[in-house]
Amino acid sequence: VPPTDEEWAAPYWERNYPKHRPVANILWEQVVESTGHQGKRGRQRGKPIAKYGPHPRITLALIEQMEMAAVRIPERELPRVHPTVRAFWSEQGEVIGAIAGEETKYIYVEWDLCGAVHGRPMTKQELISRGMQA
Amino acid sequence: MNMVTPKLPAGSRVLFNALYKTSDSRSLTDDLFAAILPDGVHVSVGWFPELDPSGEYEICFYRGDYEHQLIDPIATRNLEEVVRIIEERSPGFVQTPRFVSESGSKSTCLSPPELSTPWSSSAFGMLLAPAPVHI
Repeated sequence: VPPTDEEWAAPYWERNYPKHRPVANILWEQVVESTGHQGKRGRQRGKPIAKYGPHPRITLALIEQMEMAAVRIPERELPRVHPTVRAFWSEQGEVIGAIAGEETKYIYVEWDLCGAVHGRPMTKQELISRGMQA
Repeated sequence: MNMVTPKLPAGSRVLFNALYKTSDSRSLTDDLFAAILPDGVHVSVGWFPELDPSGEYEICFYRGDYEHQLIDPIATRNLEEVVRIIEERSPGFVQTPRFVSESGSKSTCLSPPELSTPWSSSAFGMLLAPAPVHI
């Protein structure tokens, strides 16, 4: 039986998950390109992934603030797919990262049943494909 | 949907887990699993391209920044293989406790049976070394 909303642990920002954090010492343009399927990888190895940035304007404190704020808006919750993961979206006033080779103002945030909150930049098109109601 | 949880070395911490046995491609996303091993090494699993049933899992081991990967990412389409790789590789990234050598000038990784000299008495050594062990 899927857990109910009441069974979800209180949200806390998972500060030990650095995968999508801003990259220092690399030009933002190169970081953006590295997030594209056909782009250069820069220091990145493996598959292209979403990255917050540009560094240093996008700080960890700002990421925490954005992601924690996102999960507190029930109207921004996306249709549930994983039984133990709730997902939310948020639009920021300026570019906060890159994905698929382009900059974006949108973030996608996951809130795990155990309470961990973590997110990443995402395009508006991707969010729409996941059920975003703009 | 059945959740799959890899067995990790003692002292590891799972940050989140969304590894499921499922044929629903909507559940194949970037951030599926993340954990920190006792020595500070991160292990993470994602599916690429996201939501694409023709994609594959990617397992990464890294320390600190994601860009500081310890081995080349490992890709597979098989969830059981993901679990096997994590369970087999993770213990290899867990080092023995870090001790201070006699000279106190350089940190070395020695397992307790290899210690044949007294602990450093320098202030630096006293701060880092655990209680003396007499073998």
